[in-house]
This record gives sequence, C-alpha cells and structure tokens, in this order.
Amino acid sequence: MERASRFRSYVKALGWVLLVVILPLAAGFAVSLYLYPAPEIAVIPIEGDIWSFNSFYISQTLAEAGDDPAVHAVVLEIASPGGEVTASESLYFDVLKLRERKPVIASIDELAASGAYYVASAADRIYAKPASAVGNIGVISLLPEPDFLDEELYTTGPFKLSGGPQESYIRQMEMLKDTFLAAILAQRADRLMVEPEILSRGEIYLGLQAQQMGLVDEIGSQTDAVAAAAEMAKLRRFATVDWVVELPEFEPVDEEFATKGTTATELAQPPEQLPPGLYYRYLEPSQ
Amino acid sequence: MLKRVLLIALVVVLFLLPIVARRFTYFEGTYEPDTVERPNLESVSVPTPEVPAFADRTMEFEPGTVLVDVAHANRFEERELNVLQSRLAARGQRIELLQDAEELAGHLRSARALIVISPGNDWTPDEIKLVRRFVDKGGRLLLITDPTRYELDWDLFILDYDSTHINDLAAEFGMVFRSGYLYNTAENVGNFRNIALSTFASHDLTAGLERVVFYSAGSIDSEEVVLIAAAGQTRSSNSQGAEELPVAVLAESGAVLGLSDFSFMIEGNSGTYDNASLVANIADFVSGAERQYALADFPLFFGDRTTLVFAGSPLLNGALLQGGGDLQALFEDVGRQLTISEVEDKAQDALFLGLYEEAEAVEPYLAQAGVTLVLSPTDAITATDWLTVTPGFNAGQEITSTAGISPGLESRVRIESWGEMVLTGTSLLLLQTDGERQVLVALANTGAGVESAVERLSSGELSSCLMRETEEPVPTTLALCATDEEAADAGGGWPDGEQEAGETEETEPGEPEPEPEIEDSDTVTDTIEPPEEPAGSILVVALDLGQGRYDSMTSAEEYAEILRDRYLVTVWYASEEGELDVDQVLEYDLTIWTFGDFEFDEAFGDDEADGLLTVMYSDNPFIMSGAYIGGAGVDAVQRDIQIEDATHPVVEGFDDGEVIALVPAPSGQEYETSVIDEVEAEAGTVLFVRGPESDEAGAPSIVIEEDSFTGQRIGLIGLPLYLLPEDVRSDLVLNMANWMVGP
Repeated sequence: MERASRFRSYVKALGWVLLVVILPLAAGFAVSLYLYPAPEIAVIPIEGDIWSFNSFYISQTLAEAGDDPAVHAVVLEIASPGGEVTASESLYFDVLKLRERKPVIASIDELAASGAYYVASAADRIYAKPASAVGNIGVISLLPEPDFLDEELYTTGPFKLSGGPQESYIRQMEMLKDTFLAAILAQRADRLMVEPEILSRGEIYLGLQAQQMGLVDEIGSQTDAVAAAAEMAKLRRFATVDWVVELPEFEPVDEEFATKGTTATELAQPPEQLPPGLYYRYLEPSQ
Repeated sequence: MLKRVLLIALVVVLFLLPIVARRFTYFEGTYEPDTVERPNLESVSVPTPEVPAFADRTMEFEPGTVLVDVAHANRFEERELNVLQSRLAARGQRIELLQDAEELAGHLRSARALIVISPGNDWTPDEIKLVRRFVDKGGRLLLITDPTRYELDWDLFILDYDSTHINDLAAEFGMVFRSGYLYNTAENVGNFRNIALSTFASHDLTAGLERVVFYSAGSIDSEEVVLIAAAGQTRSSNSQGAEELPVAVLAESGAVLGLSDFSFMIEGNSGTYDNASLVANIADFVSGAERQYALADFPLFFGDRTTLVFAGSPLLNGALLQGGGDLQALFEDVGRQLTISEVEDKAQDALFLGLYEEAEAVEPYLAQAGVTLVLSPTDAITATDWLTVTPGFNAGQEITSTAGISPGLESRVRIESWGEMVLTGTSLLLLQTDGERQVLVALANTGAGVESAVERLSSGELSSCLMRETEEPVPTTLALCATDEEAADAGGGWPDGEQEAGETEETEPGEPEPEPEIEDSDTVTDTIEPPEEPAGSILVVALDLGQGRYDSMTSAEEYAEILRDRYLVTVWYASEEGELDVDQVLEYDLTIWTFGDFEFDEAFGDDEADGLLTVMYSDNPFIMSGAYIGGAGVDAVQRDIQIEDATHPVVEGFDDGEVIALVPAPSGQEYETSVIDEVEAEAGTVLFVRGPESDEAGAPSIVIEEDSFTGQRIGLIGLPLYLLPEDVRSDLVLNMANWMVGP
C-alpha cells in the first residue's frame, strides 16, 4: 500500500515536472524555431548581360529572398557589363524594394559596369575589389533607320516607322543618361566625391578609384560584404547561402547571347546584327 | 495562491527561455531599414535645341566654279553638301567634283575655291604644290575634317582618321588637324559631342554669330588666326585638360579656312542655333576668291569680251574657222566672249594668233617685252630638219630694228637678257597688261606651230616652256615653247612646209591615199620627209627597252637613212612613252622590228609585242633584225657573213660565196650574236651564213621566207645592221624592202 502510494507520488511529481518544466520549454523551443529560424544571408548572383528575360528571374529571386523569414540580408554578387536599359531599371527598383525590408549589400566581382552599376547603386552599400571594373555610366545605342516614304507602305504618322527623327532619339538617350545619374544621386548623393558631369563621361574605373570617387563604399571581398550585411542585419550567428537564379532550360539563352555578342566588335556590327534598343552596356575592348 | 502564481510564472519563464535564448544566440538587435530614396526624375527632361528662322542674305559674287575633292577616297556623300551647295548656288558658284587627282591641275585653273573634306588617301607632294600655287594665285581653300569620318579595320581594330590624310596638305598652310574629338559633359546640346561654341574672333566669317553647335568636332593646332574656339568645360578626348581648342582656323591671310567639323553644315544640323549663318559665311568665303590668273590659266585672265585677231590677216579657211570656233567655245565655257576681228579693238582684251613673219601688228607688244624677231632666208634651214619649213616669209625681213640681217643663219628670236633662240620649232606666247586690257600674243613659225601653241595654252601645260615675267615697262609674261610642227596645213590661212600660201594639196583621182601615220601626240614618232612618189610606207620599230649588250643601238636610224629616199618611213621608239597603235601597224606596207644589240627578251614593250604578233599573224611582210633573234639558243662571236645563195633577188649584186667582214662596232668589241636555228631557217631561204672567221661558221645569219600559202614575206637579219659595211647594208635593205613591198 505504501509502495503504491509512493509510486503515485512519483508519477504525480513527474507529471508536474512534465507539465511545468518540459512542456513550457518544449513549447518555447518550438515557438522560437518559428519566430527565429536560423538566420541566413542570401548571396544572389547577377552575372553576365542583364537582359529582360534573365532580369525577370533575378527579380523573382530577390522577391523570394525578401519573403523568406530566414533570409535577413542579401548580398548581390555582381559580375556584369550591364545590358538592356529597362532590365537594369527593373532590377534597380527591385533592390530598392528589398532594401525596405532587409539590408542589401552589393559585392562587385570583376565588373559592374553601366547597367550593372545602376543595379548596384540601389544597394545599401557597395563593396568592390581594388581591381574591379566599375562605372561606365551612360547609354549606348545605334541610331534608328532614317525616315523614308514608301510607295506601297503607308503609315498614319511621319515617324510611325522609325519612331522618331534620329536627332530626337539622341536627345532621348541624353535624357536616359540623366535618369541614370539621378538614380545614382538618389542613393549616393552624400557619398559621391565627384560631380555628375565627371560620371557622365562614361569612364570605367578601377575599384580603388571608384571607392575614392564615392562610387564604391568599401574595398573588400565577398566575405567582407557578407559580414557587413550581417552587421547591418544585426546578426550574431548566421549561415551564408548561395542562391541560384534558376533559368528555365527552354529559354533560348545561347541564341539570345549569340545574336547580341559580348565584345565591342560584335555589338558594333551593322544594325541587322544588333537588336535595336537602348543599352546600359559596357562594350569590352575587342581582343 | 503564491505557490500557484510562482508555478505559472515558472511555466511562462520556461516557455520564454528558449525563445529568448535563440534570439540572443542569433541576433544582436533588430534591423531598422533606413528610408529608401527614390530617384527624383522631375528635373529630367529631353533637351530641345534652338532652331531659329534663317534668311540668307543677297550678295553679288562673280560666278565661278568651286572644286570639291572626291579623288582622295573622301569620306562624305554628295548629299551632305546640299546646304553648302545651296548657299554657293545663291552666290553664283557651281560645284564641280574632282574625280581624278591627275586632273587637279586642270581643274584648279578655273576654280575659285577648292574644298577638301575628310580625305581617305594622302595628298601627294606634287598635288600639294599645285594647291599652294592655287592659293598663291588667289584661290580659296577650305579644309574640313570630322572625327566621325574614320575607317575601321575590323581585323586589327585600327581607326584610320581623316586627319591623318589631310595634314600634309593642311600643314602647308600652317595648321594641323588633331586626332581625337571634343566633348563637353557639362554644357552641351543634347549630347556630349554636340558642343556649343560662342568664342569667336572678329571676322567676316564669324559675323552675326552668337552661338553655333558643332556636332562632332576635333581641334586644330595652329599659330594662325583662330576664328572659333571651344572654351569652358569642353575637352579633347586626347588631352582632357583645360585648354583652348580651336575648331576653325584662318590662314594664309584669309585664303585658307580649316574646320574640324563637317556635321554642323549637313541637313538637320545646319538649322540649329547660328549654324545656318556660319554656313552662309563660309559660302561667302568660298565665293569671294579673287583669282589672279597667269598665262597658264588661259583664257581666264581675259575680261568679259576679247577680240581674236589673226595677225597678218590670212585667208580664213576651214581650219582657221574651226580653230576660232573652238576658242570661242573655250571662252564661253568660262563665261567669256571671244569675237573674231581683222583689227584689234583697243576697248577690249585682245588675242593675237599669227606667224613670226606676219607679226607686224604685234610689234609694239613684242618691243615692250624686249623681243626682237630676226627672219633669215629659208635655205638656212638644213635638210635634216624634220619640221616643215615655211617658205613664204620674206627672206631677211627684220620686224624690229634692233638686229641686222644675218644671211645664212636660221630665223631666230632675240630676247633681252636671254639672247637668241631659233624660231623653228618654237612658239612665242606673250601676255601683257596694257592699261586695263589683257593682250595675249601667240606666234609660231607655221600654222601647226600656232595650233600647238594654242593647244598648250588651252591645256595650261607650260611647265616645259621657258618663262619670264617682268613688270617694267608693263607687266608681261613671256613664254617660249617647243612645238610639234610637222604637218602642212591645207590651203589658205598660213602657208606651211614647202607649200606656197594659198596652195592646196588635193588628192587626185587614182593617186594613192595619204600614207598612214600613227597619231599620238605624246609619243615620239619620226616621220621622215617623204619622197615625192613613195614606193610604200615602212614602219621601223626600234625595240630599245632595257639595256643593249654592247652599244645599245637598234639600227633604226640606219634603216631610216637607207629607205627614206624611196619610202615614207616612220620610226617608232619603244622606249618612249607612247602607245603603239596595233591596228595602225597593219596599215604600213612593211614593218621592220629592229633590236640592234638589245636583248630579245627585254626590248619589247607590251604594245610592241602585240604589234609584232599582229603582223606575224597577218599577211603583212616584216623584217626582224638584231643580234639576238636567233632561236638556236647559242650565242657565238660573229666577225663576218658569207653569201649562201646569190640567186635570190634580195642578194642581187652580191657574188656567190662572197665573204663580207663586219665593220668594227662603235664600242670596239667583238659581238656575240645568236645563231639562227637551222630548222627554222629551213622553212625559208638562207641568203647569208656566218662567215669563216666567225664562231659557228656556216650557220644561218640572214634568212628570207615566203609563205607558200598566204604569200607573207619575212626577213630575218641575225645581226645588228650597223655591223655591215655601208654599201652592203644599203643594198641588202633596199633589195629586201623592194622584194617585200613589191608585187
């Protein structure tokens, strides 16, 4: 009888411990996992030309990173000569949107030129290596065909075929260049050491030069950029996760690139080989 | 109660503990995003250029021609000149394109200005000299480059700028176009390379300008007058430092304008800001040339109206009328009027054409120039002169009184400080300013000479003439030029040759047609004065290209000397720059291709080789003569020849077996000659063989051949003719020619 009573007491005490100690601890641990998943810093690559089709998937990746509660900061690993104007602008605004929620650091690898720098400028801070190529701010485009009249082909406006006089097109390019400068100034006006007129020369600078001019904040590696991201996100412990921008395999990537080319020689081919359009694009010197 | 509260608190603490611990483990704090700035795009707008209304001013200029260079692979299209052409047309100027640089001299004679835009080829030193002379004589020069006018070598990625090709010419006038382009990223017109310019020197070219825009300018290095310069924050792509960057420079006391941009004057760009005014000013500059014409610029130095006077009032015939008409057309081409008159009209400019012997009317002009004509008897002209002698003048007549008659001497012209010169084969051109009038006198010994002089004047080719310019007592330019007098005129006009004035040369029915003559004024064709009744026509082709092995003689002269008494002989020298008209070769009754000691493989020009082949494949007879025409491939010393077959008419007068020693060569050397291939010789008749003193004795040396089917007659003389004794070669050549040309 006494043994039975003692056994009940043990069970009761164990029940209390379970109820009062283990259960709250377990519940608290479970809730903490939900509330504070192990923080990550997402490293998202922006590589190669920035074109409308791949910028869409980069945007999608940025949005996913923004929505992921584990991701507390994003590092953009940039190695790009830029690309189409609208694609670059799109990424710029996506980065701004992400920054409203999480810190974004740009880490320039070998090249962040033109449209790629446009995107980088949207980040909270920009890291570059001393020998990275940075800058090349401006617009490049081949002029549209001159206007003409045709006996058979009729249009309802004089510039329906060409889109406008060549002179107007040049002025539009100038306007876009000013837009580019305005985008940079919006983010870095207090950090720039040079006048916009200097930037609009379109020069490409070494990372170290760019830092001295205020185009880049710090000289350092991707690790430094990640550390800076962690610091901004106030992370004590974190994991660095490489995010991959998934491109659908069926996209005609090769063909797209092949027609545009990647060197000055290729891009400066006659219009039939260069898709018409406006580019924030650096033309690498020909071999 | 307390116990219960403590219990609940414990539960809560234990619940929160992992949460707090986890947060503390991973986070130092909470991220608070800064305000994200959006770009301020309100101030961004499309730059719009100013396009003011423009009305060209009316200005009077002397009508003229503006020469535009397209002969140096120039990198522009004609349509890009539309605006400038329009302004020039409003000023009476017509644009003429220089398609061929070889024609530069001719075009510059009449041009008021030369425009050179973005050449892709270099200007040669000779061309630059021509332009220098053009500018020195009042012509205007407009040099334009444009940094966008480059060519790209896609393989090497090398940019070839137009400045590279224009600078030799530009440097002649004190300016050098720099490579690179100008830009301004701070103050521009829609693009960094559209630079606004408002720094002007005071000059007609910049009158009325406040702001012009160059759309792709380079810069010019020069110590000359900088008309327009880029200032402010405009930089050069080559230097990038702050400096004055001239884009328009005026040199040579306002005669040469250099512009480092072409794009501002093309349609679309020429209307912005004051560009239209600048183009109009440039058109004024180009149109405002005041050319100073010299003798070589005939007839541009004449005024609006000129009288043509045939000195001596010759009977006008068709040739003179034709010549006068041609001159009138030439004058009309340059906007001037020429009327023919018997006497000089002192109210107009005058052009005198005449013979020395009838130069009384122009004696005052000659005297002012210190020119004296001394005419002497015709027999003073030697029989060897190839030029036709004018028999009609009065022997011993002296037109001016400064010299006495010198019987036995040729007619001559005496010129102060120069001395005396033979009149025969010389034309005299005298341009004199008589008050406001221009007087040109052209005299020669014969009508053909006058014609030659006029041709020289028309072509402006006076570089080979002896020239003198004097200012006292009146401005005078005197030129003495060689003429190509050789043919007699038809009746009337000036008498020529041995023909009396007024005598006509007509072909009687049944008489042979005039003998053919290769017509090419650029070449030396010596037509020997024909016998009265030539037995035929012979063309002697002297194959003298390259170097002769011993004496470099062809024997052409020996052939001509032997044949001239019986045949109409024309000698053609291959080494001269002439073009042998292959078709006309066949019009001769006989052709003689003579190499002398010139090597067979080197002595031909292409034309001569074609001519020889043409003759060989025709039925026409020919003689081939020379030391190296043998086909046996063996050269051997030849000292004599020996008659092999004395029965043939070609060796009439020679004895069978006779050995004839060769005469010493001028060089004194023994001659090796090629042995004639015996197989080749078997087709014909061997007339002579190599003599017993020669190597390869008995081998064929002179062979004739008559094709049994076509009847073509061929003679091969396997040694230089001049190595044969005079009597032998004379008999041999005459016999051979008679046999070949005869029935």
